[in-house]
Amino acid sequence: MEQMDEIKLTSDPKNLKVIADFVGKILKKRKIKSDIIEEILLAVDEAATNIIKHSYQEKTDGNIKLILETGPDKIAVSIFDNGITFRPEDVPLPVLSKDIDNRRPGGLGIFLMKKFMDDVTFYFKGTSGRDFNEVRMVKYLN
Amino acid sequence: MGFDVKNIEDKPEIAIVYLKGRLDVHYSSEVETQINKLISEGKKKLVISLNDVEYLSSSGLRIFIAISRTLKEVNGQLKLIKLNETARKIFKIVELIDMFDIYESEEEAINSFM
Repeated sequence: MEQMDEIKLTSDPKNLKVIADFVGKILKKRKIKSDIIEEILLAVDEAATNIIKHSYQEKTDGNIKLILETGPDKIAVSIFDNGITFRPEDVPLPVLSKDIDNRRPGGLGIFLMKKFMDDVTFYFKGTSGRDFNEVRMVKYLN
Repeated sequence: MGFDVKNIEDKPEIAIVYLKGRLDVHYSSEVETQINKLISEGKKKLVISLNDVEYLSSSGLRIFIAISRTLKEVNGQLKLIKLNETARKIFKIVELIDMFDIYESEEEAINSFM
């Protein structure tokens, strides 16, 4: 049976720990394996960080809502914001083969989200009648 | 985020930094500032211990890249020690594991400085 849990917070970076504790506690209660929890927490943190840094431009009073869906076959995390639309295609993915001196600094966050989750989909404010930006990340179990 | 520094009595250019806690975007910039301060004070050979880093994000990775570049500019060196399983996994995924000098102990790291 699917269960949904929701949390609303502000875009204060201190809330990244609140988000991690919220998601981690619920997934542990639902007896999700610890390595899966770890990967989901990493992806969620990266997604929330992008919202704080890019959608809210590091302002700490932006609104963030996170919905966690846990079911027998999958875990889905949706994070909503109404800040500036952050388009991931505008961020080139890191070229991993380059040495440290030549690595571009950006793109690691999205790269890690896509590595740790099975599906990552972005929905943009203003499209299809949406008032909010949303990033939805799914991890399939089994 | 915990940030402790140990100096070596007869090697004033070396500092060992012990990080503890979450290295996310909130704490990464503080850590970077403090490390840059150490570098400006003449600590050009840095050993950073990740033994107690419970969480490492892309923000954390970025500061290691930035610190490595800063130290290169002053002919310094960076060594990382005691990467836990999570940190090691992330370094491997973004293919940074071979780009840093990583050791298991302080002694190995200190002895490796040229």
